Amino acid sequence: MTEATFESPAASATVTPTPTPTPTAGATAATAATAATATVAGAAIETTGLTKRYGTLLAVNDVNLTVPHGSIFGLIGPNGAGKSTTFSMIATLLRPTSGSLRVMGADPTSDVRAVRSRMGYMPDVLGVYDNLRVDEYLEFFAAAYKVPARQWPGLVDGLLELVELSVKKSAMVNSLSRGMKQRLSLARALVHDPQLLILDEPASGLDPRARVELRDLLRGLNAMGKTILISSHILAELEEVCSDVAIMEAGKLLVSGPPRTILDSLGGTRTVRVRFAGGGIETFNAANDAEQSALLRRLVVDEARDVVEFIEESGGLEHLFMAITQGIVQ
Amino acid sequence: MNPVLAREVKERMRGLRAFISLTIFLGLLTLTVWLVYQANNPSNQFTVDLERQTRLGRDVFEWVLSIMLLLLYFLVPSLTAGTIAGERERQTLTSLQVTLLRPRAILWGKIEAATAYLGLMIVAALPLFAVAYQLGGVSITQAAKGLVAILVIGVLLATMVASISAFSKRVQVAVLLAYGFTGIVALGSFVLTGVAAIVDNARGNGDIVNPPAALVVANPAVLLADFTAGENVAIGNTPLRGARELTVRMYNQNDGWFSMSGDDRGVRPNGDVIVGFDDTTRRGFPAWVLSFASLAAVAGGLFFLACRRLRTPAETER
Repeated sequence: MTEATFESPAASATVTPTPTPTPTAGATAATAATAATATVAGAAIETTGLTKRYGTLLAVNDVNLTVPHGSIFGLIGPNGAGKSTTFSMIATLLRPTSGSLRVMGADPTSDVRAVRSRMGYMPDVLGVYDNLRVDEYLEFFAAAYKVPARQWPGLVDGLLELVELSVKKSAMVNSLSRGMKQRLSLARALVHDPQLLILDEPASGLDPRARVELRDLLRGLNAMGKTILISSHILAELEEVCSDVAIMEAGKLLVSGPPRTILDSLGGTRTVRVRFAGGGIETFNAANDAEQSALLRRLVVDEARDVVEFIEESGGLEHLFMAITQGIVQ
Repeated sequence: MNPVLAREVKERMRGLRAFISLTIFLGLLTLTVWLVYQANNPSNQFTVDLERQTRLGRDVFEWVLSIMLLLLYFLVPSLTAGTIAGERERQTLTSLQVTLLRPRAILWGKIEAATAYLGLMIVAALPLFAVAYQLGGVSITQAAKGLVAILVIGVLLATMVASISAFSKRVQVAVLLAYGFTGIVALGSFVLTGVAAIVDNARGNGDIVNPPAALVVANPAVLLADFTAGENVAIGNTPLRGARELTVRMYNQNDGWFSMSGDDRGVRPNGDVIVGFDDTTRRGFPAWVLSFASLAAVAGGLFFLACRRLRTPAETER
């Protein structure tokens, strides 16, 4: 039950403040994630042959997915790829047609309450109760998750501090901006202090500033040891926060793992742009990290050229996504 | 307390709509009392006609109950039609379904909230019942039974309509379904009885027209009329009296297997003799029990189906 394992995010928030948007924050989060992975055995989510069929449409086709504990796992795919259906099955909303599924050690089809008490779910649509105050909104979900009433005041304050909405505590939900509602929705998913967060397109419709804030928030939550499964169309967003990614298309899982490992496995598809002193720019092909390192050594040491910029041009998630997917629409 | 109930009450009482509805409800009931009083007001104020005053008290009581029932038919769908469909339309249902609340708790919370508001309306209408009591013709017990019956009918109707709401994705459709279904509940048994009578008559068996008596019983008006019956029920012309007479006629024609409460025999002010059911043949369950049981069975069945509909994990996205 929630009462037995409940740990107020307020306490966590004061011990581990939300990281500032610096390059080291991601590293801190990654370190924490590694630590969390090391302490918890098994995967947070594990699917084997997961399939969902709607009549003749195969929405999810034989997906084998492993989300490690403590990771930020990005699920990428075009519209209709089956991401939201996969999320719905993980979140105990949809029953798979076939295949097995374990979420935080429990079966979402038979042990629904165990999964729900360990998982926070933020759907891709932003539905909130407009006629409630912000604190009432969170209290309602705290009650729905059976969090004891005596914990609500501290819990609400802690969550609002975490998502930086403390000043809006007494405001009506309908007065919040979209970005604020998105953060409130995230706070709602955290109300029972779950160890797993499932976020379906959390950055959709957000302005650039709100996206940066959301990214920092996710890093902070990951640093608290929470496993995060996230989907997004904005690949640059995922690239900066995800320790692992999986790409889906037409219901099938095409590839899964750390982005760099996947890129390396593709081979020969990475391009490095080098700018030399005096303004000359040249591009080189380097299939993996080792080749890039050798290239840099050759240019600087062997050829003694004045390298002022050495940038991988096409090695990001976007490149990976375009290289792997075929634009299939079903 | 059910969190859904707490939230619904907060949301409902925060808007102006609740207070406007309450004002209209009380306004219409007050108008009813005034009209009934005016229609029966003795021309000579200095003469006390006890029988007339008793009839006036009973008329006020029955008319207030009748109008309350009529208002329930309009109020309950407006309060509950959008409960689940509204959650779907606002796209908040998914967030609710992944909490630890069971489907029946979600649905029951909505029904409780509607009932709480109905309770408020009934309490607010108490002074109008006091007018009837003051005039005479109604006992405290009958007044209390009337209020209980109205609340029970409200809960049953709210359960039916909220359950139907679980099958709709759009509030507009849910509202249409709610009013359509309420219409069936309000008039269905009378219409069915009429149809059965026509069919029976068309057969031309030469006997009296006798559609199945049980048909007419499954109606909130019969529940209310029979449950609040008592002394002096035969006098005056009210909708409840009409429902009671129809049920009695059905009873008499069918050697009924249910009984009616109170004494229905009497003489109208215009001299018409009212043939009530023969008290010596009273047997079986009272009509209000059968009425309640049939309505409760429908409400329970719909509630069960709605809970199944809301249950997750589901086979398809709802």
